[in-house]
Amino acid sequence: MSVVHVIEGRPVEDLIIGATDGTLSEASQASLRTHLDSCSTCAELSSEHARLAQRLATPVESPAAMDESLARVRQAASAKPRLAWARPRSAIALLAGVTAALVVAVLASLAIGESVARLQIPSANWSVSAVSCWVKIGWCYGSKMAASRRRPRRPVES
Amino acid sequence: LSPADDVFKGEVVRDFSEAAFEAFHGETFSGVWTFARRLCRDESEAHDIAQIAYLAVYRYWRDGKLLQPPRRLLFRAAERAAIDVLRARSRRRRLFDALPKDAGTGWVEGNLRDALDTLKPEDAALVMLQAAGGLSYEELAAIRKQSVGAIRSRLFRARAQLRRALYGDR
Repeated sequence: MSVVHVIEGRPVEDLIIGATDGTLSEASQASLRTHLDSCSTCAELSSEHARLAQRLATPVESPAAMDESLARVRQAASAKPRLAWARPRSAIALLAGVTAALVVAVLASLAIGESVARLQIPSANWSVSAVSCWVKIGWCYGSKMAASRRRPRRPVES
Repeated sequence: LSPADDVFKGEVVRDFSEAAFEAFHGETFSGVWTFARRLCRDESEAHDIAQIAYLAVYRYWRDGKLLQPPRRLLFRAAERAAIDVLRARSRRRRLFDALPKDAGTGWVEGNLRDALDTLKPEDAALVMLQAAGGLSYEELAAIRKQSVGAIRSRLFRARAQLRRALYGDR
C-alpha cells in the first residue's frame, strides 16, 4: 500500500511531475525541495520521474528512416488518385448495392404479383386497366399542354 | 477560438515548395519518429504513422488549405494514426489471447515499451507527444481540443501509472 504525501493540498507526485516539466511556481518548488530533503521515499520518487522523463525524451535515431520517410511521402503525394469505383472497397460496395437493389426489385415484383392474384383480377384485365390508366393520364397532360400553347398571348401592357 | 488555440499562432508558415516541405520534414522528423517508434512494435508501423502524418501536411500545405500551423497538424495526425495502431493491437491481443506471444524483437527499450503498453492508447500517445514532440501543456490542449487543466490532469495520471509500471509501487 503506497502512502500519498501531500503539500499544500496537492499530492507530492503531482508536484514532482510539474517540477520535472518546469511548470511549477517558485513557491511550490521551494516547498517541494524542503519536503524532499526530509522524505527519502518522495526523493526516490522524484529521481524515478526524472529518469523516466529522460528515457522517454531520448530520441530514437535513424537517419535511414528519415530519408525513407521523405521518399515515401513524395511517392504517395505524386501518385494519381484513383477513381472511387476503381478502388477495391468501393467496387465491392457498388456490386453489393446493385445486387441488393436487384433482389429488392425481384421480391417486390413477386409480392405485387401475389397481391394481384389474391384480388382475383384477371391478369389480362389488370394489365389492360393499368395501361389504359397511363394512357388517360398522358392524354390529359398532353391536351392541357396543347391548350396552353393555343391560348393567345395577352398583349404587353405599355 | 479558445486561448489554447492560439499557442501555435506564432509559427511562421512559409509558402509551399518542395524545399520548404523538406526543411519542415528535417526539423520535425526526429520528434515524430521517436514518438512513433516508442509506441510501435516495428519500423514498418512507425513508417506508416509518419507517412500518414507527413502526407496530410504535404497535401493541405500544397493545396493551400492549411488552416492550422503545420507542426500542429503533423502531431495531430500522428497521434490519431498511433492511437489507431494501438487500438488495433489491443483488439488483436484480446482476440488471440490464447496464441503464443510474439518475441517482440522489434521493440525499442522493451521494458519502457511494456510500461507504455499498460496505459490506454490515448494516454500513451499523450505522454509520448509531450516527451518526444516537446509539446507544452497548451500545445497538447490545442491538439486535443481540451482544456489545459484536463490535459495536465490526464498527463500526470498517465505518468504516475507509467512510473509504477516501470519502477514498482511505493
